[in-house]
Amino acid sequence: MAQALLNGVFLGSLFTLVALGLTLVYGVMEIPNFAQAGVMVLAAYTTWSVETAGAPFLLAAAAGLAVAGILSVLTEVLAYRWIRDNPAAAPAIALGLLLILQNIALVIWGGEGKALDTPYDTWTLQLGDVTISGVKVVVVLTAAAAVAVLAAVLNRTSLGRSIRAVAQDREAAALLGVSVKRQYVLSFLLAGLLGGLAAIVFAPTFQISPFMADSLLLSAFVVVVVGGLGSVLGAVIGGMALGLVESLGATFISPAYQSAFGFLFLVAVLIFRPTGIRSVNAQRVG
Amino acid sequence: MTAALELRGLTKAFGGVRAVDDVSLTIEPGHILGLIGPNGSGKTTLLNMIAGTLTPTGGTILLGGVDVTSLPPHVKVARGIARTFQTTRVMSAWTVQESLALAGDARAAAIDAAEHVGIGDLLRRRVGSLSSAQQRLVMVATALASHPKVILLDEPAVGMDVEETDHLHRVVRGIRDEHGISVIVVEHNMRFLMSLADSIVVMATGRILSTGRPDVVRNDPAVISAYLGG
Amino acid sequence: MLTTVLAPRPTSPVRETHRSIAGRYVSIAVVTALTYVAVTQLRGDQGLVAILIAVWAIALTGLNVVQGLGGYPSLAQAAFFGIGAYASSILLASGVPFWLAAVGGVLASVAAGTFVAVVFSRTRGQYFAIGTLFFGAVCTLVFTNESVFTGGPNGMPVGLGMPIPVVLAAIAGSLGVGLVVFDLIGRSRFGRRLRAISADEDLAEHVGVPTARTKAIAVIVSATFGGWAGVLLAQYNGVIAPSQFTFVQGFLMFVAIGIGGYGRLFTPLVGGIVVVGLSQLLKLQPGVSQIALGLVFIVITLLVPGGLIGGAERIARSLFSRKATS
Repeated sequence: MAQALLNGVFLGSLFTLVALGLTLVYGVMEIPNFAQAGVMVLAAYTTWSVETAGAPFLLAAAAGLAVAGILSVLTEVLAYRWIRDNPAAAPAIALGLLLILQNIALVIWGGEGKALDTPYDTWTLQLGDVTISGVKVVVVLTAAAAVAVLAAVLNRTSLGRSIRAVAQDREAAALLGVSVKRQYVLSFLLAGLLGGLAAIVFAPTFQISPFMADSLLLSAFVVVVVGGLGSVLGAVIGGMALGLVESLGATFISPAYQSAFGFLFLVAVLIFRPTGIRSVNAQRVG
Repeated sequence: MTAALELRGLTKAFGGVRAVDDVSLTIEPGHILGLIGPNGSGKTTLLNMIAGTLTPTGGTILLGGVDVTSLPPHVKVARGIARTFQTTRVMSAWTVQESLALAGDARAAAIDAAEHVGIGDLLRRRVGSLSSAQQRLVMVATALASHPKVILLDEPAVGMDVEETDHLHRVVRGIRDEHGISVIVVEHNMRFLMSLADSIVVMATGRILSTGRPDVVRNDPAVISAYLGG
Repeated sequence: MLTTVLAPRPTSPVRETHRSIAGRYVSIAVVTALTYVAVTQLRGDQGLVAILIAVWAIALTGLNVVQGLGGYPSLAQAAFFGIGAYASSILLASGVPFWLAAVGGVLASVAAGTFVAVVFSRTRGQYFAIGTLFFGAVCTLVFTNESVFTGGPNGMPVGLGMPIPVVLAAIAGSLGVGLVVFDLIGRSRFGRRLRAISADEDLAEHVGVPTARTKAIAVIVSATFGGWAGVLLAQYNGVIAPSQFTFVQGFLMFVAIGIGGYGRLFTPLVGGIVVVGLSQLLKLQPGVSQIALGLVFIVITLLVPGGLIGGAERIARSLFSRKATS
C-alpha cells in the first residue's frame, strides 16, 4: 500500500509537471497543445545524444531544455500564431506538429528505445518493504521546484502579471499596453521548458522512444481539465489526485488499465463538476 | 386571477456578497413592469435568475402558479419565459427568418413575430448585415416567437435613436395589448421607460427600494437619493 | 399588425430550391456509383485504399453530424469504429448468425455512444474533445488487453459473414444511404439546433434549444454510423487489430472533417481522401511520410481554414464571376 502511495506521488508529480506547461498555453491561447508530446520527445533524445557524445549529464540536460524551449517557441511562431483567432483549427495544427516532431525523432534516432543514464540512477533507499528510487525522487523534487518557481513568476513578477492579464482578457490586456505577441511567445517558451524538464526527468524511469510521451500527455490533459484551465493550483491538486488514482488502481486492480482509472476519475469529476475543480474562465457567457 | 409571474424571497449570493437579497414581486398578466436602479443594484442578476441563466441561492419563482425556480434556460423558454440581452447577441451568419425559426416551432409564429416587431421585410436578410437597432429588434422578435407568457427585456433601447425608441415603445405596448404578455423591462432610458411601464420597481444594493406607478416612484425621495447618493 | 403569410417558406438555414435538393441527390447517386466502381474495379494497393476511404467516409458521415453540424470536436469516432468491428467479429466467432452479429456490433457502438453522450453532453468544447480522446484511449486499452476476446495487440481474424462482392456493394450502398441521411438531418429541426449550438451555444439555450439533449443525440447518431462502418471494415478486411482504432486514428478522423469543411455534405469523402489517401499512398521512408502528412495538415489548415470544399467553392465563384450569395 505504501509503495502504491509513493508511486502515486511520483506519478502525480510527473502529471503536474507536464500539466503546468499545458495549462499555461491552454489558459492563454485556448489551444490543447498536443504537440507538446513531440517537443518532449525531442528534448529527451537531444539529452541522450549529447550525453552519449561524452558530455556530463547536466550539460546534456541543459541542451535538452534549450531544444525544448526553442521548439516550443517555433511551434507558436510558425504555426499556432496564424490561427490565434480561429481556435477551432488548433487540434488539426497540433496533430500536424505532433506527426512532424515525433517522426523527426523516428527518422533521426530510429524506433528502438534508448536508455538515458543519470548520475542518480543507482541510488535507491529501502525502508521496510518500500523501495524509493533516486530517479523518482528527482521527479518529485523537480515538480515541486517547478510549481514554486512558476507560482512565484505568475504572482510576483510583472511578466507573470502580463501573462495572467492576457489569459483573462486578451483585448483588454492589449489596450493596457501588454504586448500580446510577446506574452504568447513567453508562455510557449515556459511551457516548452516545463515539458522538456518533465521529459528529461521522466526518461530514466522508462525509456526514450518517439511515442513515450503519448499516454503521459493524455493524463496531463485530464489534469488540466480537472484542475481547471490556466490554474496552477488546479494542476497541482488535479495532478496529485490523478497520480494517486492511477497508482492505486494499477496496484490493486490492474496495471494494464492504469490510464483507464484516470479516465474514470475524469468521468467522475465531470459528472459532479462540469467545469473542473477550479476554473479561471468559469462562466463562458457572452 | 393567478399572477403571470411571482417571485418570493429570491436571493442570489456570490461568496459573501448578496447581489439580490430577498426580492419578492408579483406581476399580473398583460402588465409592463419597469425595473430600474443604479449600477450594481442587482437588476441584471434578477433577470438572469428569472430566465434561468443563473440559479437562485434562495427563494422561489412561480410562473402562472407553477414553480420554475431552478429550471435550465431552455426549459424556461418552453414554459413561457423569454429574454433579450443587454449586449446584442444574435446568430450573425443566419438570416432573420432562420434565427426566428429556431425559437418558434411553427413557421407562421416566426413570421408573425417578425411582422409584429416591424422587421417583416427583413426576413431574408443576414442578421449580421442589419443595423444595431434592427438587430436588437431581432432579439425581441426571437423572444416573441417562442410564445412566451413573460418577456424579459434587458436594456432594449440601448444604442437606439429617438425614432427607433418610439418604434420600440409601440412594439412593447403591442406585445402587451395584442398578446396579453407580461413584460419586465430593465432600462436606464427614463423617458422611454416612464411612459411605457404600468408600474416601476426600483432596486438598490440587491433589494427593492420602492414600487408603484411611474409618476409616484420618480418623485420618491428615497429613490432620488439612491441614484444620486450612489 | 399581425399578418399571415400564404406562401410556404423553407425552414432550414440552408436556402433551398427544389432544383438544388434534386441536384444534391443526383450527386449522391453519382458518388455512390463511382464508389462502387472504385471498390470493385481497382486492384492492389489502390483498391485497398479506395475501400478504406469508402469505409472511413461512412464513419466520417456520422462524425460530420456531431462535429460538422454541431461544432463539437469528437475524438471518439475511431473508438466507435473499433467497437462495431470487434463486437460484430466476436459475436460472429461465437457462432451468432451474421446479420445478428452485425446488428450486435452496431448496438454495442450505440451503447458506448450513449455512455459518452450521457457523461459528456454537458461539457463544453475543449473538455469534450479531451474527454472523448481519453475514451478512445481506454477503448484501445481494452482492445489490446482483453486478448481472450479480442486476440490482443495482434488482432483477431474475422469470419466471413457475407461474400466479398456483397460486402463491397454494402459499402458503396451504405455510403449513399449515409449521405442521404446526413442531408435529411441537416435540413431538419435537429440539424438546425445543432448549427445553433455550433454558432452560439449559450444563445441557443436561451432561445429554447435543449442543448445537452441535442448534443447527446448527435453523439449517439455518430456512434451508429461509426459502428456500422466498423462492421463493414471487419468483414472486408478479414482481420482487425487495435492499431486501426487508436486515438491517433480518432485524431485523424477529427482532422479529416476539418480538412473537408465542417457540415458540408461531401466532407467525409474529401476529408477521407486526403487523410487516408495521403497516409496510405505516400510511400516514402518510414517516418518521412508522416512528416509530410503533418505538413500537409498544417498547410491546408492555414490556407483554407474553412475546409477544402468551401475553398474550392470560393475559387469557382470568383472564376465564374457570379455574384456571391450573402
